[in-house]
Amino acid sequence: MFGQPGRPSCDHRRVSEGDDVGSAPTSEPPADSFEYTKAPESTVAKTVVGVLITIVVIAALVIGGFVLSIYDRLGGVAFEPTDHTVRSARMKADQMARGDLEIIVKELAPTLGTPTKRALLDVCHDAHMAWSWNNDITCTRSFYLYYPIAGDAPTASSLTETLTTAASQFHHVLACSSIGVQRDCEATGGAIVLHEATVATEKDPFYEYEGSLVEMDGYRELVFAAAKGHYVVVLFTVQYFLG
Amino acid sequence: MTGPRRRYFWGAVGLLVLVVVVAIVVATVVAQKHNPLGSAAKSARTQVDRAMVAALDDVARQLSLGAPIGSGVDDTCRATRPASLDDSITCDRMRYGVYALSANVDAHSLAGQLPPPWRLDGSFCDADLKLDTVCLAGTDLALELAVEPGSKYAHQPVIFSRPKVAETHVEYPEYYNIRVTGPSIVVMVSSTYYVG
Repeated sequence: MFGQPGRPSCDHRRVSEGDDVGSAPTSEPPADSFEYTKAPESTVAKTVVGVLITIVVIAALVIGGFVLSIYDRLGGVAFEPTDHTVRSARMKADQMARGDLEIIVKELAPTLGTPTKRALLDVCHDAHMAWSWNNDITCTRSFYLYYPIAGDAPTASSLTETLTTAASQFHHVLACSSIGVQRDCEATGGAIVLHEATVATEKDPFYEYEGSLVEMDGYRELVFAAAKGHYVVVLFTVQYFLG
Repeated sequence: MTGPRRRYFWGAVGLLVLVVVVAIVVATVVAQKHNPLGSAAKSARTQVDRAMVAALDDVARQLSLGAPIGSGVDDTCRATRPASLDDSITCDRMRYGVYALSANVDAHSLAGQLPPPWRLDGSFCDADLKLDTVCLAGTDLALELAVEPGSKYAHQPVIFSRPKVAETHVEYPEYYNIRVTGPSIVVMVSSTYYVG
């Protein structure tokens, strides 16, 4: 159906068996040697072209940097509380914080005994104000230790001293230890808050979170118990994600 | 390409296609399993909802609550273990009815009128600080009765302001349409119907 394409004509002589292939070439090189006739560019032109190229490269870098800085100011990659990245940070923070939490429990044991209730609250919310275009989120993991007080409550100063001792034994530097973006580290990190109450209340004394709840374990039970008053609650919060 | 080589080539291509197809099928099945709107979760949801409707009607009849002034469903799915890389989800469904109360009754006396399988649940239930609340357990469902004192002004029932973990809202609550001006009782049946 389809014929073979025509072969181009060869410019060498046909070689057949018995020919002296290694003999001297039969064709001669052209008599005129190749000569570059165009004049070289002037030094000024070369310099101008070089400067132009440099300007273009610098401009591209500046524009690229500007665009990147705007992207960064808007928060860069948009994270969700259930993203793989955020979950990884949460998992790492949970392991670290639980170790430190046990140090707090151990240090408080002589004064308060063992906590009768424990709770966990994990919350993510916008890192900036609602009107901001920045899409950064920040996530915190809070551990609550509930100690009912039967008799006289220990003084806040003695508890604070105990908690300071406990914090000095923490295995990890909580501030920024697992935060994806390293900026604003000074303003973030772990915190220990002491709540004490001797009177019953109808309000949730810890209801101060905002944003979306990611995990809640034993929280309402603890709040219900705390509403009756006469308790010490130690709240240990770790900020584990900002980005 | 010679005969044996050709056979090896097409054999390798066939094997590769098979592996890709198997990988796609496995990924689809796993994704379906972890999807709140996947077939497994949907099937469990349909099943539990049927039981919930029947249970709610039965409780309202037993307590002679009359017609509800509001009703709705709240269905949410969340990550089972958010502090891990496990993608499994847990889905909770709540079906409720709000009924006006003419007499001054408390939740515990109402709960006492309910026959088995409803029994008082000794463990902590999702109680509200401001409400008269009692929790009961059934065969597969949980029941909560919450009496709200009400006010002369229209308001949303306090019970719905509870904090809740919700990754995905499968069905939104319809309590925005409820306007309660007097004492009322919220009857809620709930269940954790899917973990997968």
